[in-house]
Amino acid sequence: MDPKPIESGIRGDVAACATTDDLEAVRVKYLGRKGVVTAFLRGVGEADPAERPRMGAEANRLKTLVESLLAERREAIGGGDRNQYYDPPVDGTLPASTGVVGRRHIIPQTLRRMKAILEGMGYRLARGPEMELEYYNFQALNFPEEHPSRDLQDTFYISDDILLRTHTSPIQVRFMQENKPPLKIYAPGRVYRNEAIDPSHAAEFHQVEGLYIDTDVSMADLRGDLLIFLRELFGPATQVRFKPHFFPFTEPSVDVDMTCFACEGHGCAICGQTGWIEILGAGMVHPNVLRAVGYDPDRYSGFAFGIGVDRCAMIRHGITDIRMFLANDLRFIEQFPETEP
Amino acid sequence: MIVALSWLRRYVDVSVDATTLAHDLTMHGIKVERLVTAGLTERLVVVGHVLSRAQHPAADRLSVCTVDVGAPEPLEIVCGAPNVAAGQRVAVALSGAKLPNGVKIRKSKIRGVASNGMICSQVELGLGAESGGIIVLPADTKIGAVLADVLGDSDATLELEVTPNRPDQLGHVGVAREIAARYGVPLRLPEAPAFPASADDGVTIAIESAEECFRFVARVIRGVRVGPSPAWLKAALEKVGVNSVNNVVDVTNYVMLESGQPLHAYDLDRLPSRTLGVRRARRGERLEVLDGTSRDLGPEHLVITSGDEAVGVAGVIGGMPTRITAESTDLLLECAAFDPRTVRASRRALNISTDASYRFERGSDRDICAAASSRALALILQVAGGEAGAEVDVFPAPRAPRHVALRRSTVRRLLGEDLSVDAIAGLLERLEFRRTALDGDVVTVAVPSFRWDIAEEADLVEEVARMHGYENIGRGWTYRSTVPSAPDTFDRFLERVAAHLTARGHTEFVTSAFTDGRELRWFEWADTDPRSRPIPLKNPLSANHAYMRTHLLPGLLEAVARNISHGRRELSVFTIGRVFLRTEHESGLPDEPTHVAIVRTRPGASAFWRHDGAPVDLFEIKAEAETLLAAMRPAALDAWPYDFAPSRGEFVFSDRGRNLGEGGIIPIAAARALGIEQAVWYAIVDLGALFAVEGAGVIFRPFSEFPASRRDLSLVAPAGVNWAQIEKHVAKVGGRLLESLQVFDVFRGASIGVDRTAYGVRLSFRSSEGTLRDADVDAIVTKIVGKLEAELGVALRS
Repeated sequence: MDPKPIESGIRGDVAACATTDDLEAVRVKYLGRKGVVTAFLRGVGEADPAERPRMGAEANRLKTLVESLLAERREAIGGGDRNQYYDPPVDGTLPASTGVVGRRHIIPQTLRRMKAILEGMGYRLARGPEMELEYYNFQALNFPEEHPSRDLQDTFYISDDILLRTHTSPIQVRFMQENKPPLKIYAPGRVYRNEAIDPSHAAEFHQVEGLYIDTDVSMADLRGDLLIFLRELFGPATQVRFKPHFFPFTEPSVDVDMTCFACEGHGCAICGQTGWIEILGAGMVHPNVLRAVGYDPDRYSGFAFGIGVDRCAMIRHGITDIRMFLANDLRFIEQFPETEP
Repeated sequence: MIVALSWLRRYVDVSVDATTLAHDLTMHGIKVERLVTAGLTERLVVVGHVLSRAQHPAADRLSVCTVDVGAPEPLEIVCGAPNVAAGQRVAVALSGAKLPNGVKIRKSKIRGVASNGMICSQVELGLGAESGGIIVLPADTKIGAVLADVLGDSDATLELEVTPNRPDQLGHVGVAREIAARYGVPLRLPEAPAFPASADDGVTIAIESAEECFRFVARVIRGVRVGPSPAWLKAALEKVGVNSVNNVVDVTNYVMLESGQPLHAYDLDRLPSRTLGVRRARRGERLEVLDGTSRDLGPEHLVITSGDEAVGVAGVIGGMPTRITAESTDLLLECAAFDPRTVRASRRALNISTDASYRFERGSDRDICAAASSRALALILQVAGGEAGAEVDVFPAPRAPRHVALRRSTVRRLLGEDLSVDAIAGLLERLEFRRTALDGDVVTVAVPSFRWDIAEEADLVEEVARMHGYENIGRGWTYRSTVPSAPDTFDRFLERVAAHLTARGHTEFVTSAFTDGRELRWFEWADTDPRSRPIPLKNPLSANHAYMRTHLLPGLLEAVARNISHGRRELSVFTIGRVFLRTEHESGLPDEPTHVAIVRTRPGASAFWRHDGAPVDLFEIKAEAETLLAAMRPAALDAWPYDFAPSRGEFVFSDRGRNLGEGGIIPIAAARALGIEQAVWYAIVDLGALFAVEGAGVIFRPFSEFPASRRDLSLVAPAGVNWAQIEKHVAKVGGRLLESLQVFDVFRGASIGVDRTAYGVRLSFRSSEGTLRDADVDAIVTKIVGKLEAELGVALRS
């Protein structure tokens, strides 16, 4: 059998193809079960044994030729197979979505960042009720009854002995009552203060409390942990500064400043030109608090710190009105995509 | 508490400028919240003597002066003022000085000539308006003197944040004492000369309870002339924001602001009797007090009496009838110490806070009453004349000296600083904690009477830390081993819920836990449902914040309404938070389950080309609940029968009898009340309950290698039959071979009969043991159809 006329037939037929259906018909004509090339291939076995190798090679060449010509032609008639999906043609530059995606609120985002850091430092989560017994919120934390220290935190009362927690510190007491040292916990949550609401005061906001109790935990450990925590949160150049302060449930008590993350301590509008930002309160757990949960202050010591989640979010993102957080305006929330782990 | 720098200087030498002092005090634990300077405060501006003046070699308008500033070598200074001349006494800002306009003086070169300071004009020093040149001081002004001292009008006031533990900081002497300790300089206490109490004026004091009135010092002063205060006294008070009243009252205020000890002066002639007392008021007693109001008194008030008639509320406020007036000549001066809690209860009952009550509440130093009384007496005699009368000092509750021991090891344990016991004792001595014993590594100190906040060892550690410097603690710190911990599983669960919902396009809101109770009108909860009885606050911010929420919707919807009013009408949002449900806990505390609420709304016409413009419907919101559950707790899906009530458009789902959540449409009236005119759909899931659904440990099951057989059926259901019923029977009869069941079409129309519904259903059968034969599959399908017919009247569509 002569391959020459077959070859010219293939070339002519492929060149005449206008659609993918035409191409398929040509493929069947030559390579189908009853196709011309298929028949040629079958004929190889019946040929003169001396001719067989040459005929076999010819058959394979024809097969390859059909496939490559069809592929070329498919390209040439435009888009190849894709055309059968785009009929009629479409404008692929149209938007596929509104671009609106679900966003997490900046408070939980900030809190999640803090949690990730603290968990990496060995702090474990503890939680407690938002509606709390007066005992845990004040008494067990060394706030004496009828003492001006209670004026530091304006309180919402439910009854004489039930209130909305004014800080996350009662969780400390609850956790210590149930566990023995060593312990290292953090306690996030919402807190309530009966304050007139203005750009820097909210009646509801969020705190994270840290507590570490063991033998020989010192203020040096407090400084070290806070330095690590704040550097993770605000950047590696962050420095901390300790100032003496007063909280009923810590002794010594510390007011902790950090270098302004915006100007790295050189002074700018965010830090009021001081280079420092007051960021949290801390101290060594007061012996009375340890005694209240049955720990021996001569054996155990520890530190506690409390940081405002809302305040951190305000500082990190240049938010000047704390009321933004509960207002839930999408124009606010959508400005904070989740860009951090 | 506001203190004036000039006032502090009476008791302690302050060699630093006000800004430095404010910083140092803050770092020392006396927080300066605000510093206000007046006049010149910079101490690097000194008096100079211009020795010579020469023309600047490179600038016509500049001169080069040599100026003696009292230093060994005169300074060369370039000056641009036209009026500078040799022989003048001038104001020189030295290198390092910071001028009120913010300019910082440095050594520099001006047009090639070194300049080592600046000769200042009054504008540059903030002392006055532009006057055309430098300040020229009188020729006898001392060279090298600090200009601020020469001018004498410089001052600064410091607003201190005094914490409740430091009542001693509520007087200038106390603050001066901290300054003295901080800088290691001596403290000069004000003079309080002793006056003989020879004369007997017949004054007696009876104190009902030594637990309420610790001490009462009364002093008679006769023949004073009440009138305006001298200028120095007025100025001192006004600087710290206290108005001048008259010379006698001003002295009592002055001594209080000096010592922290409140005093009160009575007009002796208007006191009903010289028999004084301190007792609880009796119900029915009344007193007109100094703020001009008449108050009903009762046992919650401690009062000062004269002849058993109340003349003042102890530690809070004096009485109007016995106040000092211009006509008063003989006085009785009260200088007492009261129980802090009693004073606090008293003033809270009266709803007044005064400078006196503020101090007594925090605890006054009963040991200084006599000295403060003498001090006031001396000042009254000085500014108002008169003579000292009798003094009566009744002191029923003197305090025993307090000794506290401090171990060196405790300092090391709490601070991480290893200080010698001598160093520790030395630091404490600067704060006037006298060392009374030293035993090895333990020092015992006597607590001074003005520092009664120091009760135990840890309190002394803080004092040591302050004196050592908080900033010096932990400098060489290295990380110590930590307590191992694992992430909290419920917290992870909540994070996954939030991640799932945001991935599905919902945006998170954080909403208030307060509510006005409006949800009670939206939902018809049974009285036994704890959601119907939200917990009220005793002292809410407003009626809008009267209760704690029992449901997340009110807060979420309010935020949705606000966004719609801003033009964001297509919303898909969620919030995760606690609700507060009454229970019968012994503690009295409610349950605080964590819920998630999802709200979805969209007006009919969507503004996006791909959307078909349909508003949200029931199935869209139900899909959110279903996918949330499928993602978080697939195990719950096997057992969450919907309690579906199409008439209300609501669904409820539960797992093994435990309610997991519900959803539906917000009642139209509720939406309207919030100004929402479009349909809003919601779903609520109790995440605590969902978390508690136990998923058995998952064990891999080999899947069948054999092909599936599919059958499509068209079923027609009569009115009153719903899909869930059909599904239940199909699943039951289909048994293990029924691999899946899908509804691919739902149809209602006249062609099948009114109120009937046709379901297009695809069944898929598969066995793990072999290829199913058509006959076997057909047999099962026949059984299914038969069962549906028998139980529900559901028939195959012909």
